[in-house]
Amino acid sequence: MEDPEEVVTNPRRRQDEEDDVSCCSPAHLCSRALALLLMCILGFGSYFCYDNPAALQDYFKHDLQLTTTEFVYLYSWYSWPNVVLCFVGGFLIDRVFGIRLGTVIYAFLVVVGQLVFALGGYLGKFWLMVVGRFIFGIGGESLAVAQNNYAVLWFKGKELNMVFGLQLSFARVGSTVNFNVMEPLYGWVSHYYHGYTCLGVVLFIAATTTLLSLISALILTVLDKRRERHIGQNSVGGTEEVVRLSDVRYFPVTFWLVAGICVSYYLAIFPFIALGKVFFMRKFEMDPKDANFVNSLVFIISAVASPLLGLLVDKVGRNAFWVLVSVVSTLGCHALLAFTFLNPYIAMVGMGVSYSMLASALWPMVALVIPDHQLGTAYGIAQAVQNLGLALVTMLAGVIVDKGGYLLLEMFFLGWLCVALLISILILIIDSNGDGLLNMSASQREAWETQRSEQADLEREKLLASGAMADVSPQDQLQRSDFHIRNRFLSRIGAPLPEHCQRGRRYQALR
Amino acid sequence: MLWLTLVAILIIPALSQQDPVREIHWASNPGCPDNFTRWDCNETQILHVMAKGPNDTINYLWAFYSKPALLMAVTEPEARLQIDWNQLGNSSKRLIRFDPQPTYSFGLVLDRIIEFYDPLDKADMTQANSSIVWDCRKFSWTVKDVTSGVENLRVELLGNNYGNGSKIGNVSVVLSAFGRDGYGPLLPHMQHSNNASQVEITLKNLETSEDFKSESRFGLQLMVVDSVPGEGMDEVFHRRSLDDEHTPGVFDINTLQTPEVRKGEAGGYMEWRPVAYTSPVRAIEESTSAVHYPLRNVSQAHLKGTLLHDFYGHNLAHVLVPQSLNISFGIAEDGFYDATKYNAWTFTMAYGQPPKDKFSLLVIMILAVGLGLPTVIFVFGGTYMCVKKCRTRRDEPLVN
Repeated sequence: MEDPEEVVTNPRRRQDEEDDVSCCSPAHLCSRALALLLMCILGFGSYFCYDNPAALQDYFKHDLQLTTTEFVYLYSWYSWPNVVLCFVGGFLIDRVFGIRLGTVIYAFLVVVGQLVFALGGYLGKFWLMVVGRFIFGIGGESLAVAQNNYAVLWFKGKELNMVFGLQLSFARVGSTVNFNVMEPLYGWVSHYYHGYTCLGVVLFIAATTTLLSLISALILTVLDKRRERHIGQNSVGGTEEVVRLSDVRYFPVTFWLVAGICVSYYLAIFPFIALGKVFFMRKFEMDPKDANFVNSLVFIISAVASPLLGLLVDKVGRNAFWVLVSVVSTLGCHALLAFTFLNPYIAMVGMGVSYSMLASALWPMVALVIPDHQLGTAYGIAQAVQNLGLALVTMLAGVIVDKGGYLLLEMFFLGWLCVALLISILILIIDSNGDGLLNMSASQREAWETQRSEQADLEREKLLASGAMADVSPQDQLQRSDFHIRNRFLSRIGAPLPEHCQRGRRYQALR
Repeated sequence: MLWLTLVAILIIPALSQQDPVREIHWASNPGCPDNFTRWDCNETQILHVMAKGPNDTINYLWAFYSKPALLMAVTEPEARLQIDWNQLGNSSKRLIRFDPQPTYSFGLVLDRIIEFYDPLDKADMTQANSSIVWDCRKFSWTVKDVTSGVENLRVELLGNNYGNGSKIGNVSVVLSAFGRDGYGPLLPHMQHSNNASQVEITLKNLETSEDFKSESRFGLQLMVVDSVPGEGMDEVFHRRSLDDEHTPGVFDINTLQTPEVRKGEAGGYMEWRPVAYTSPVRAIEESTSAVHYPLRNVSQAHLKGTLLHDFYGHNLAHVLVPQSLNISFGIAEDGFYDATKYNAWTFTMAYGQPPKDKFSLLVIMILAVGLGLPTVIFVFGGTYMCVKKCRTRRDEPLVN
């Protein structure tokens, strides 16, 4: 991508830059702060428009004569392309388009998708709206991946966590703004237009946020070009997260259980929010504006609580325990909504806190059980399965509301949460059967990490010294418990072991 | 444990004792003499339905001469009905009697249909500037269909030819009598006991007045009276139920109950959900509100010529308290009646105590399995973990 002349002049320019760190330099705080702002805005449009249907659910159903079963197609068709794209999107950015062009393409797809969606509404053609959501889906999730990639390029180390947290919070703010603005906007537009034309105009107005995202993508392109010219780095140094499906064989059981929670827990949150407005209007007799506000509570709280709880989980550790606590408390919140008429604010605030807690505790668990070079595949699989689940279950949720009512819908979500509960208990059991890594406190984990690296170094030294590397398998190197290490050492020096310790491998004696 | 108590709370009502099943028998124009002139004895204008139980019989008298009237009378199992046919509608004596006398009776008349002008889109009949009355006496009521089984009966009644063709429109009334607990066959699937009947009133293609410029809505006026002297009904009582399995999206039930029911004894009551459907498909998207208004005492003159007058005689004027219940259909921004020209509303009319809400077996099973399985695994897994930890701790010193 760089032309040869620039490469030649690079060293001199870099020197110039070191001497003169002005505000325009990519290394300077201003420039990076601007880039951070643009990265956040990048995601704002897509998150704002994602929940447009939920915020206007009753108008969609009334103006377009939709049943709930049909309404949820707007959500499930957003998820379908992402079952595949979670693998392909990152690859496309790394190998085919490059980060800059890729981001612009995805932002453009988001704009096109939302415009087609709005056009479908304006003309009253539901099939066109579904097509629009499909296109929007192709761009939306991949844009999030691109956003992450930009963050990794521009920020490093401890900063990166804060940047991810900020991006997520901004996205949540986008969702919140959507829920609180769309209802008054529809009210205003309905003075001039009626029926589905009104809906279409409202969606066109919402599309301006996606234009904003596209503009920030373009500006980021310019900024990133300058950064690349000055710093000369176009890819993430160190561990490259590549997606390789053959790695799947080596994933431990705990990863699949974590992926299971990724699916079953989020199935009780996102489809619920999609259908929440009419539920709150009918069961709790709230007016549309209040219903939207209550629906958005999960996101408002998540915007604030996610970074805080992330910090907490980082400091305290015990991820598996926090996951269990989140699942149980979300169960309680859904049970409150299902079996009582208690003010829904209470349950939704609880749900917001639990959701933030789970997100902060669950995703790092993947990094704990999967080695760095396979993380790309692991996250891709988790996201793909999650999108598959969302696509299918959202459709099912719509059918349940039409045929069985909202109590049965809540029972359905409670069922999924019980599955998540089961899985999190299994994780606790299996993990404590193993090395207990997922449930260690932060200090225990640090001690364990240093001990493991010390053991590994010690092992390697010994074996190198004796020249007997041939009979050491990778599994030996990964043996972690004290018991096994001592056992192996003793058997190698030829000491007799008691009967019940004869389980496992017999090792060749060291010469 | 918490979940055990929760499941127990839910299971016990579901498995509660079921009431005995009643057998349904029916007769059309019972005892109609050959020389009867008002209508042909083959043309059903009075239906006598008997829901026979072990201890008593609930008699439903459904009459369609004059205004449609529905009477529910609780008698001994072998009580006989006597109708003084030749004086029907012309005397203030009691022309329709049971022998022996019923222990309780509850009657309802479909008095009139009201079209009210609603230019401000408030859907409130009391605030209407002007209204037009369709007197139910001016419809000609014919029984279109009678479907009967051992434990239920369904009668389809059609009112048309209003004022000999002066206005276009049909009113369809579907009457059902049930001998067994259950839920109505069509939405809103009203829950009924074995002492219940159900009435579905549908206003189809009623001709709206041109003066109202298609901004009008319809409502009904029903007259209700029961056999307890001196007391009228309690004001309509609105309660919320958690379970909307049978009527997706509707969590409210309205009950018109007699003081006996309020006191916990057996009495007459009417129950309905505050929804009316605007299309035969009856989806929740095609529903609108059914709004009720405060009861008013009325003069018995409105009931003259109907079955209730022939049954109660002069008691109606002196001892009993007839009242009117008004219901209107519509909610703001639903497009008024002319949007679909279809309003369907259902209510149950029954004796005893209103049926209690209970969760279906599906709900209970999901809770039992969903919460039970993780708890079991947690307990067993936890013990297994502890046992394993104890054993490992014992192992370590041995290796040394």
